[in-house]
Amino acid sequence: MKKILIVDDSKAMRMIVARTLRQAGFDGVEVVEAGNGVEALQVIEGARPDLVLSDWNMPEMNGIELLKTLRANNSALPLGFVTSESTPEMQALAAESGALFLIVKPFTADTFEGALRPHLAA
Amino acid sequence: MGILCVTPTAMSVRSLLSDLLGRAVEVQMLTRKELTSKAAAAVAVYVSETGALAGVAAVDLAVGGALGAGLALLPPRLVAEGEAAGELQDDVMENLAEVFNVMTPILNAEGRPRVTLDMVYRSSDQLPAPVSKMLDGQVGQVPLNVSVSGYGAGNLAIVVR
Repeated sequence: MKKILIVDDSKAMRMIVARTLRQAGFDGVEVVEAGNGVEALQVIEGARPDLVLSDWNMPEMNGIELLKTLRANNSALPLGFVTSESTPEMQALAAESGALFLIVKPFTADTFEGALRPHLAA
Repeated sequence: MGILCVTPTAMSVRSLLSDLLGRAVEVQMLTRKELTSKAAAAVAVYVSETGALAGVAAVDLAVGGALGAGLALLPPRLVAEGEAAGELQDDVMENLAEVFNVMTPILNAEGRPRVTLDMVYRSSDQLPAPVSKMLDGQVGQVPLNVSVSGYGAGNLAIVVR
């Protein structure tokens, strides 16, 4: 079973992302959660997720810092952003830092399906 | 169009809120401002990249409760309970702050200075004077009535600079 880590400082948004995953047809995945980048690093070490869906703006450690920390530690763990803001600068920074995609809130199940399916196959 | 913010329309607000909540949301532009700083249950402050006050969004208890409860599918009775108590519950308030956060893109447009959510105040907080002044002024007002299916209706005021 694939495992997805949802990182967002809003408990409600983590719930919505998990619900949208189910609506997008990923109801077989196991979901684990973290409230910021620091928590996410701890969860990653213990839970070994297959994919991370991370908010950008969070306290303690934001999403881009989380991604850069992973890559600095030679982790190739796939990570996509789910964020309320999406400027061209953020998109460029996300891409050059190794993010898979950047989904803008509010999102639909179709958006999730299109963005995640290539990375969760088999 | 404001100097620092895009002026949102009823349609852009309806589209964003209905997508976010995953349920029907109706938004109507009011002919005059009905929400004052004293009557606001929560106020979001948006700032420019230089930290300048760029926009304000405020809700009354009814729609603040509807948006905050509706986001996480909390029981609709929480809206009435919040109104009876005269303030939004902590979990409703936390969810409402996320709604204000997700509303940020409707104040932004490509090629314009970036506006971000800076702070969310609740009714018991002392609002900074420039925020109260902006909310109670006459310039840049976008007074809206928002109805969230299953949760009720109330006033949302957006003010842009």
